[in-house]
Amino acid sequence: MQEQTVDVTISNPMGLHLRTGKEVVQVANQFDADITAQNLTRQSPMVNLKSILQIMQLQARQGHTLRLYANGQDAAAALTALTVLFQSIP
Amino acid sequence: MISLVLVSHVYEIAIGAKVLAEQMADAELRIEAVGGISATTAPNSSLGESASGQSTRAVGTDAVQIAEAIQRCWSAEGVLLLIDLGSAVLSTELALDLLPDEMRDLCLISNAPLVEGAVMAAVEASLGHSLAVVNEAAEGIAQIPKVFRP
Repeated sequence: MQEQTVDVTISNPMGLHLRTGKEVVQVANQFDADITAQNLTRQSPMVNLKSILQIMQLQARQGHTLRLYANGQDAAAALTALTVLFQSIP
Repeated sequence: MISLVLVSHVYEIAIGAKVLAEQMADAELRIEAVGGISATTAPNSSLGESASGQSTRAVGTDAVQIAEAIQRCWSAEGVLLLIDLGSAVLSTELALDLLPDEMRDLCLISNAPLVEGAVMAAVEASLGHSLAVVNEAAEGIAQIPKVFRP
């Protein structure tokens, strides 16, 4: 199974704040695929997007680019859903 | 789904932590907030009666109130207790002693900081995770720096 990736940029002036983090966790948990992410701007460690604790470690602020990775049967659908979520955050 | 009990010396802190945690929680998640002791039972209380004449709460924690809160939000999947400092630990331990054995065994006192732990626990508990997994997330937040210093 090919790993899929997508890059998203945080546009919210508050960065990736708590409530958004919760939504990311909820969406990520709807998929079987392993979903991880890294804050490219900060060269953060790779974190599991199914865990709110790990999302906090991205410490993503406005303008930061996150690279999302998904591995598994529904990887493409997972990345699509997460991209839509990130784009819908004002 | 497990339940959460938030315990502080100050009622308003416990309630405030609950308000914040609920922002992150599924509507199904039950969160109880416990704090303060009845001013009439508090020795040397400086609070006494409020201006409106109603009894007020003094700063402190009460094992009976904590035990009642656990029973109000009881879940057979477990109850995670998030507490502030010092005697809150003793009162919460005493509260567990007041419970029947089969309930006590399903309660866990977290080492997490109250506010941050409650937020993490609310998200993880809402996902239906086990008591141990929820507590791990709550305790883990203390290891993550709030301010990034390169």
